[in-house]
Amino acid sequence: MANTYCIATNWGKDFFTAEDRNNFYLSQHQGPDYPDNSGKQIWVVGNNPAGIAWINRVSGTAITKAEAQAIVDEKIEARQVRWDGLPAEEKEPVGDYARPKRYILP
Amino acid sequence: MTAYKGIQGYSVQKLSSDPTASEAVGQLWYNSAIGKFKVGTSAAGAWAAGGDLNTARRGIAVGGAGTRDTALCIGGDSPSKTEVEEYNGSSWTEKGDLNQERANLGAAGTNTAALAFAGNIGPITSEVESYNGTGWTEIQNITTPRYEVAGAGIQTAALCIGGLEPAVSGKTESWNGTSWTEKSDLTTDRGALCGAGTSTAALVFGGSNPPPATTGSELWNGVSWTATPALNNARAGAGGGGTSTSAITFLGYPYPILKTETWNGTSWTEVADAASGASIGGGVAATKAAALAFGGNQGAPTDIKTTQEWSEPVYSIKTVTVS
Repeated sequence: MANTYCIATNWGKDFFTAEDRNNFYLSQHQGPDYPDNSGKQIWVVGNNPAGIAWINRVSGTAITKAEAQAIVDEKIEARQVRWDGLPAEEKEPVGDYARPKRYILP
Repeated sequence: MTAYKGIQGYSVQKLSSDPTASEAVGQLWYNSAIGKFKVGTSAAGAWAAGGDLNTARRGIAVGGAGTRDTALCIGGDSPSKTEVEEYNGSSWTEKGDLNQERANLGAAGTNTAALAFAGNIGPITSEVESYNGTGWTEIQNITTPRYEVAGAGIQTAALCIGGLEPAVSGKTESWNGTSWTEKSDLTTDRGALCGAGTSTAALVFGGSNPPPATTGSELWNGVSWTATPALNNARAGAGGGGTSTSAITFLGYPYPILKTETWNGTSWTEVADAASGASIGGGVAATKAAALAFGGNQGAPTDIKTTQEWSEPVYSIKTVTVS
């Protein structure tokens, strides 16, 4: 499996380093605390020794891809509900307020 | 055991502490304090996590002021803010507030000599403020009120480019330290664009005309704009900066955009991805080698505080292991 998945909270400086980014894949997705963006997030992590060491370093909680995808789907649905409730003038023109779309985690 | 010198014919230098990573690239040495061999390496550019802003926000000044390690985060939304913060390479410190709260503004200059201009505070504003490292002073307004503009240049020689009036604008106004003068328009009107460079050699890229985002890029020679090779990825509300020959752009919308692109004076090239996306956040870069992305929005009712630092290349020191 190319990637593994965890829940962790980004504490800021050196949560991940440039060297980490050269050693393994890493991407953040909205997690269980959404819409609190300073809370726990989903992290997709390259499944190699450096990636696993990073999960341990940030005290990440390992989850399966299906569990991670379910959380992300739920948060996107919440964003879709919020978007659908916006006044029409805030939906046009689109742009950063475009209706969120579901996507498959890498 | 055979001595290394006996095998390779060279002595290995012995140091009591490691040199700085950027000076150690390609070097091998023995660290006598810890009894380990070390090597200095250089790898491709990458993003790292930086210290969080004190105040989450979006609609931060575009064009930025300062460098990756001395950046200013000026104003923003939501609601419109006066707060200004300065980065020191690790953490953000609150500095003197703007006199006029505003979002989606432009900026130029450094952390000790900056300009903030245009934006919206509800109404669209033409107001301009000058920063001396401590506080802000209102100075002469730009001619045409607008928001989602790009900024370029320094405190005494800057450009205010494009934006929304609220219709998309191609207006370019030049500041000479005393007054603003209207110059030639962009070839393509746009808002939510990014700027880089000086008042006589600038670059704009991305933006919205109208949404969705555009890939367009234009070069300014002090007199007029010329279309240049486009970005690889359409984006607006992105971060970016640099010079007309060494620039970088990152993040933006349609959210999420993780791809980073650098400009070498001839073309845009995709480089390493950011770890997380954000739209209409702040971005600062002196060149394509060092940049800072901060704040923005990830589609939630609340904005983010997170910061990412770009370095190119990435220098590191590694311990030599023998198996």
